[in-house]
Parts: sequence; C-alpha cells; structure tokens
Amino acid sequence: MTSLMGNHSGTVGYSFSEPTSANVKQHSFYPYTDNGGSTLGITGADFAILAGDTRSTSGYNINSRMVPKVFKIGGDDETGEGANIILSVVGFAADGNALKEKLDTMVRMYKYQHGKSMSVGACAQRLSTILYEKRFFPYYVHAILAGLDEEGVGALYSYDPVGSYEREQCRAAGAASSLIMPFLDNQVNSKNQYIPGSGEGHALVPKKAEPLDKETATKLVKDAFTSAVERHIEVGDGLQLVIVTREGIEEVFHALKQD
Amino acid sequence: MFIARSEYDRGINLTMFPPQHLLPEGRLFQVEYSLEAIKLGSTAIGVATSEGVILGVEKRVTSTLLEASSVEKIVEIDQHIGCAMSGLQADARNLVEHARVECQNHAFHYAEPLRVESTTQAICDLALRFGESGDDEESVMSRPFGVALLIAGYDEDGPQLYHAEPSGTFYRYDAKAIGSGSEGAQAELQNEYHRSLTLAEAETLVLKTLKQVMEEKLDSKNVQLASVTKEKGFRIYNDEEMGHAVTQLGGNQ
Repeated sequence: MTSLMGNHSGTVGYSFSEPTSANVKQHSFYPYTDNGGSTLGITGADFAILAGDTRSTSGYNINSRMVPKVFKIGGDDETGEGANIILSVVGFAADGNALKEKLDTMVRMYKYQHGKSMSVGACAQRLSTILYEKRFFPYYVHAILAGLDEEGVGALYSYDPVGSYEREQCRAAGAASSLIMPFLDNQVNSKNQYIPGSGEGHALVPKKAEPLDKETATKLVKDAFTSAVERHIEVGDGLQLVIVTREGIEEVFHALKQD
Repeated sequence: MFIARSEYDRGINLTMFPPQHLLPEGRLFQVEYSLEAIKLGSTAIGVATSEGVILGVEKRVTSTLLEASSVEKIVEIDQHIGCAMSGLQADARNLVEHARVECQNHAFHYAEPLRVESTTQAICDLALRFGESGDDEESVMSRPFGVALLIAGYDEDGPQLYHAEPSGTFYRYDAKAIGSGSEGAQAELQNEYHRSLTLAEAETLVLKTLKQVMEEKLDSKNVQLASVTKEKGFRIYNDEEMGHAVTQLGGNQ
C-alpha cells in the first residue's frame, strides 16, 4: 500500500538546516531600573497620609538624596493647589513620573469635561485601567493613591504594577515594605494584639482595630521610616510626609540618616 | 476689498462656496436645512420634575397593518439615561450608539455613571463632523444629522432634561417639545409647567399636550412614554402602564 504522505523512510521531515554549534550571541534589552526607596500610607476617620523617603538609588550608588515620591494629583501645575488626591510611586522612578504625569493630566481633563472634581474612588478605578493598559510592558511601580472619599473619610488604594487594587487602612510599598508592613499590621490593624487578662490561650480576646488619629498615625510613619533606614541600604536621606484633610493638603519634610 | 455685498455677490458665493462652508453672512445652510427636517418629525415632549423626568412621543402608526411596538422613538442610553427623538431615526441610532459607548467607557474607567450633561456633550461632539474630509480625519459625514434628541437622565445633580440639535448646541430645559407639533406643544408647556409638578402630573401633562398636537386620536398604541427616576432609573412604559396612563388621561379630561 502506498502512503499518501509519500515515502521518507529514514529521513526526518525538516526542510531547514540542522542547528549548528556556532557561537550563539544572545541579545537582551532590559529597560527597567530599580531606584529603591520606600513609601507608606495610613488613613483615619478624617485624614489620609502618604509618605516616602527621598533617596534615589541604582545598585549601591545614590543618584540623589532629594527625589520626592509623593505627588499631588489634579491641582495647579506648579503649586499643586486645588488638588484633593495624592499619589505615591516607588520602584522605577522614570515610570513613576510618567504615571504621575498621565494621571494628573487625566484628573485635570476630567474637571474640564464633567464640571466637577474627580472623586478618589473614580480616580482609583482610572489608575487601575491606566496600569492595565500596559499589561505586557508595565509601569514598574507600586502605586498608592489616597484622599478623602465622598463622606470625608480617609481613603487609600494600593496597586500592583498591572492595576490590581484594593482599598485599605494602611499599606507599605517599595524596598523596605517587608520591614514596614508587619509593623503596620500590628500597630494600625492591631494584628496579634490581645486584651490582657481577657482569657487563657485561645480564649484570649483579640484587640479590635480602631481608626487612628492624625498625630498617632504621623508618629507611626516617622518610626516606621527611622527603623527602615537602620536595616535597608536603599532607604534614607529624607522623609516626605503628605497629609490630606478637609482643610487641604499639607506637606512636610523631615531628615533621615544619610548613611 | 468688497465691504458692501449685493444680491449679485450672493449668487456667486453660492457657487464658490460648497454648502457646508460658512456663507459670508455667517450662516451654515446645511445645518439650517437639518433643523427644518426636524420640524417634519413626529412630536416628542420631555418634562422634568423634582421626582424625575417624563418623556413622551407620538408614534404615527400610519397603517393598521403596522406593528406599533416596532416604532422605537424612545431608547435607553444607560441605566440612568434615556432619550426621545424626532427626525431621521437612522441618524439617531448613530448618536445613541455613540452615547451608549461613552457611558460604558466612563463606567469602565471611572467606576461611576456618566453625568447627563457629559452624555449630551458627547452626542453633540458628533454633530459638526460633516463636510469635506481632511487627510488626518478617518471618516466624516456628508451632511449634518437630521434628528433632534430630548435626553432625560438622573445623576448627582438630580433629574435633568436636555435638548440636543443638529447644530451641536444643547440646552437644559424644564419642559421641551420638538418635532412637527412643537410650536403648539411648547406654548402649552409654557402655560402648564410649574416647579412643584409631581411625576404623575408630568405624565398627564405630556399626554395631554401630545393629544392636543396630534393629528390622530391619541390611544395607548400611538404614543409612548418613559420615565427616569432616582429609584428605577430609565424605564420605558409597558403596554399595561401605557393603557393605565391613557385611561387616566381620559378620566381627567
């Protein structure tokens, strides 16, 4: 019987040449840099805080000791006046800046087009879609967005680089996030804290998390960063604190160790 | 330079300038013609109250063999916005489709409904995309839209009614009539409208006004009502509700 496929007994069906063992050169293009640094956000009943250190690194080098990571969104071009939303970005600084510029533009256009300021909830969804648009060439950043919601309550949204997001009470991101986040879990969300004398073993009653006041939260932020500076070489130089309240946005800088 | 123009100039201008160009006296003929097209359309009325907005249209059922339910002159744009049309219905479909996409896009990007004014603006953005196409433009229409819309919706500013024209301008109204019976109807609305109107009263006012300007005798088949409220959003009245509304009107008259 004759095969329809023809007879190629003993030969493989390749029409191209066999791979050679000649010198193979592999080219690569990696356009991302990790600029280090850390950010963190805490919210309360009537405020939201975003903070970040001001060091910019590449490898063991320090690019600059004064590169802010927290930005006002949707306000005046130079002063940021009129804004009610803030954004922190940490990771690859160039992407962070591009993302900030894009979101800022969109929030300002929104006001022209719809005759009202963008709510932080709407901005949160927009940021998510901006990030997801670049699903296969992402902005190499961990973003945190904060402001006050329509009821005046502090709102904080944290993102992964491709746009997954969640509203939270607090979040640490960046190089020292693994150092800071457990501290926040314990101090903001009262994780692993129990009411003394409330019982033995499993009967111990967990301490309920209560919203912090602005002063306590500010202290926690400073403590978190002074501690992170001790243990992480990419964090230090300065601390930028941006606080949103009904009165507006307040920005302060503090010194951190420069070693 | 020629400052004074005579009738003689006018003739030359009409041949020199294609009709989609501004004429020396500052008029756009094509747009003015499309506004005329609307005056031939069936009457549509909208009345806004503090409780919600009522839209009403006459359906012009021209034959007993015509299936009245297939005449669609009130359509949904989004859950919270609907519109009534007068003029070329095929043109309206283009506008409505555009508005629907804008609403969905906004909800996708901002996790909130698009405002009624922004929806109206989105529709009007299409209005003047006619004339000759430039190199950078993908597609332009050969003529303006031949349809006017009454856009009713509910958002954070409460119930609202807008009127959008082929010229691309839009205004917000408390009560507005468009189409062939609009002159008479608008006069009636002017007399009868007041700010404390309830939704039920607005429904009666719309039907009563339609009845006055319609050539056929009004019944539950040749008119269509719809409402926009905070609670239920945009809803087109079903046969039962239409029957009820028309009977109510008969009782009141």
